[in-house]
Amino acid sequence: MELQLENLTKQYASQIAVNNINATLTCGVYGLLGANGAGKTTLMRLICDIQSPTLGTVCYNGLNIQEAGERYRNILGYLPQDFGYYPGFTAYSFLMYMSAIKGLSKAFAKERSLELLDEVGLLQVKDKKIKTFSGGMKQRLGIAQAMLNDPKILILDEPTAGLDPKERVRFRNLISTFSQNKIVLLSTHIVSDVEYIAGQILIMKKGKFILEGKPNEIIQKIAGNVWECQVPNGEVSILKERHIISNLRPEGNMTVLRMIDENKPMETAKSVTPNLEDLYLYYFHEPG
Amino acid sequence: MKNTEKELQKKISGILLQNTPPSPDRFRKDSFLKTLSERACSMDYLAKQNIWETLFAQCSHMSPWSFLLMAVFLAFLFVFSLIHALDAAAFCMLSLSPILTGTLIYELSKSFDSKMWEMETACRYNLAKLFFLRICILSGTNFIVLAASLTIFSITGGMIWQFACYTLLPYFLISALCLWLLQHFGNRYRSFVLSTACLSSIFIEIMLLSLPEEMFHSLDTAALNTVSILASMGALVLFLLCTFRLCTRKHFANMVPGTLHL
Repeated sequence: MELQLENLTKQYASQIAVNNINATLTCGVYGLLGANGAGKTTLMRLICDIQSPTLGTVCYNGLNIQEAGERYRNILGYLPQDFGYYPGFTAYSFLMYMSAIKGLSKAFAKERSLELLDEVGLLQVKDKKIKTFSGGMKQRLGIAQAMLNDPKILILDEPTAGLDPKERVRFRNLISTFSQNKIVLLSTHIVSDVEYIAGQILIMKKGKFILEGKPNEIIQKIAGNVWECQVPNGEVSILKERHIISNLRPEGNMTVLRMIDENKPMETAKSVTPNLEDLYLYYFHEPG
Repeated sequence: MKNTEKELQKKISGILLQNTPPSPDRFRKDSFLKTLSERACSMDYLAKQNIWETLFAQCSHMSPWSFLLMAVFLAFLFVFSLIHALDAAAFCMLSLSPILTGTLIYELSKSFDSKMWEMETACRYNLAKLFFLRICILSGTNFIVLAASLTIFSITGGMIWQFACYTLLPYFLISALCLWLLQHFGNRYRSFVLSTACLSSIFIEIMLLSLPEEMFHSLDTAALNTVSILASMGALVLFLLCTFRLCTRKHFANMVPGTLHL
């Protein structure tokens, strides 16, 4: 099973949102990282056939998804960034509605909806109106609707937005168990979310994949560029202007800084093992 | 205990070595592989639903207020005809087309309004198909309401040409206009579409009511019936054309700049 993106391009007037992307996605979890405006949502919409590409194609096992139409959508699960619901829907009635438009039989839909509500921890509130739910609960319901038809391809746009740490752990476990023999693509701003569950990381900037690979492999790209040092509190503001600071931890009169720099920033600095957050900052840091 | 198990394993291995499995029947094997590859190619994993099942499933998820509003309208019209309140019945007939158009546009545009359109587009019955199903259901209901209204209106003493001219014609014209607007602007102009529906229906009806009476007096009833029915049929064709274009549109994202995300 593979999803091929060939010369995929999407242009809005003079702005290119997705710029000639070529990639082949096979079974596994892919984490899509990128700053706002990098083109993540547009790419996901193109893969879901919600938008038409200006150039290029998306093929599932060699078949163009635009030609496959309904047959492709049968194996697709999608959670958009702007997730909504009809007023008056309860969690259960929402899932039943989504099941109906996914073409699932009523008996199967009932069973599957209750199973998923249980998995995302909403079974107790299944008959409550969605409008009374917190942001995290709504997000969990959105994840459940994407999984209703047991999709072969699962696309999740910012699935962890609004989830608290406990919910994020639950989400990671859910995706890990679900992702067997499936293509899962998820975008997020929270680097740690993809660090643990994604087998492959795709870093997107200005509509292109600037880096792709396994987390531990791509992290090595900045090996030797991450430093840790202890400085007096008064010097922190000056160093912040000169270097990319990924973390600072006050310790009495001193502050421990984690810095990203190609050269050793100071004599006392020690080289440390980089992580995905450092890599993200290395590529997306904007001065000031 | 372990020795017994080992002996048993040896025995089984010996038997298996002596008895080689039969090769699968070639015809059955080919047929199985063909079916499997056909299903894999067509990605046809879900059960087929007929149109009635699909319509019924969609109907149960539509707002009950649309149907309730039409029922209340019919009840009022029936009461007015019973008490021979002809002016009130005529006013009811005038308000019918904005009501029918309003409910139709509300049901169609609610996907954009409630931010459901992206999820719906990615489902088996995508947004265009959902539009088609909703138009089918509401047009069916509207047909019943129109037929019942025409019957009651005729019993009350109303003319067919009056019904065609003041109800059917504006209904089809305004609905066609709203579907066209929805197809082109979608979410961004949702309130604009609904406002346009209400304002244009009122405007068309005022225009029709302000036509000089001599124009109607110069024609006999049969000619008036023919002209008004032909005009309504023309508007119906326009409505069907707009429905076809809306329901065959593949992508709605490109026309929704209000929800543009990179």
